[in-house]
Amino acid sequence: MHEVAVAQSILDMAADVAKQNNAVKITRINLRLGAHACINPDSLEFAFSCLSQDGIADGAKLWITQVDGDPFGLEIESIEVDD
Amino acid sequence: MKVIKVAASVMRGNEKIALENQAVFRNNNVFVVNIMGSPGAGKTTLLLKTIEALKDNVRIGVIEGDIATSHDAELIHAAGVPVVQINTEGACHLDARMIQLALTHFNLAEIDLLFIENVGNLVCPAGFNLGESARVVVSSVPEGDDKPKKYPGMFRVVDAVLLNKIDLSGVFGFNINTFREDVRQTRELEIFEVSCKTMDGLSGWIDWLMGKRSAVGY
Repeated sequence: MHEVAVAQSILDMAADVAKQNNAVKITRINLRLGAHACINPDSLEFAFSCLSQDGIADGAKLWITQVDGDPFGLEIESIEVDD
Repeated sequence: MKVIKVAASVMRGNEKIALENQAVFRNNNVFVVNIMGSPGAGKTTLLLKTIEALKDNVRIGVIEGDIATSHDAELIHAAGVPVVQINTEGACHLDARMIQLALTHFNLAEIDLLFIENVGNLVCPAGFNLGESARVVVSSVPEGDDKPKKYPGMFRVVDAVLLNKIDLSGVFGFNINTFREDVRQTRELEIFEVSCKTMDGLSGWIDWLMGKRSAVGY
């Protein structure tokens, strides 16, 4: 529903974690998405690709796994980075 | 390449503040109801009728959420209860942070029942916990009987449904059985058929509301 705001949160959170770990580039972000989180994966990927341009996560892949756990949840499971 | 474990909810910012709001409400014994629904469903009118019925017995406060204008807040103010208007300036929902800021304008020790009228929208408000005690959706006959089927996300997160403008069901060919069945397919929920114009059904809603409030011990 508000994929742009969600994509920005993902980008901010991932960038913080990457910087804390002295990484220079984020290559992939692994997400866990609940069935009723009301997030459209295509819109989320598109928003993320626009927002991440020229930054630490430029070109990073969003890897979205649909999970059964928290049906309303969206969690960053892990990020993959280059030092 | 290195994998870094994160395991953090993307909505954690809102959730954290929602929990803080919840603690503030609990410490002040304030029962909080988040009223959601489409634009024009009758949320403000329902609120005015509810205030009218309760204001001699319960101290009420209202937070009005709208994209623009203080139109609704003025109507509530005229009814004689404290009200704070939030203008989201484009945002399609209220979030916990906006409520936290609005709370600084109230003396919560003087409020028993706080209504939050959310931005008119059947989608986005459902995704944001505000720290409230109960959530309701106001649906209305002119919107059509297919809303529970088309907007299941909203019907999944609420505690009750108010089906407003029930006096018009004949005019609009509204099928109440279809509406009820589609709500039931999503979740078992209390459905109040009401008309804020004829006042039909409003006592059932008010009894439910007061019952929920007593159930938490306020």
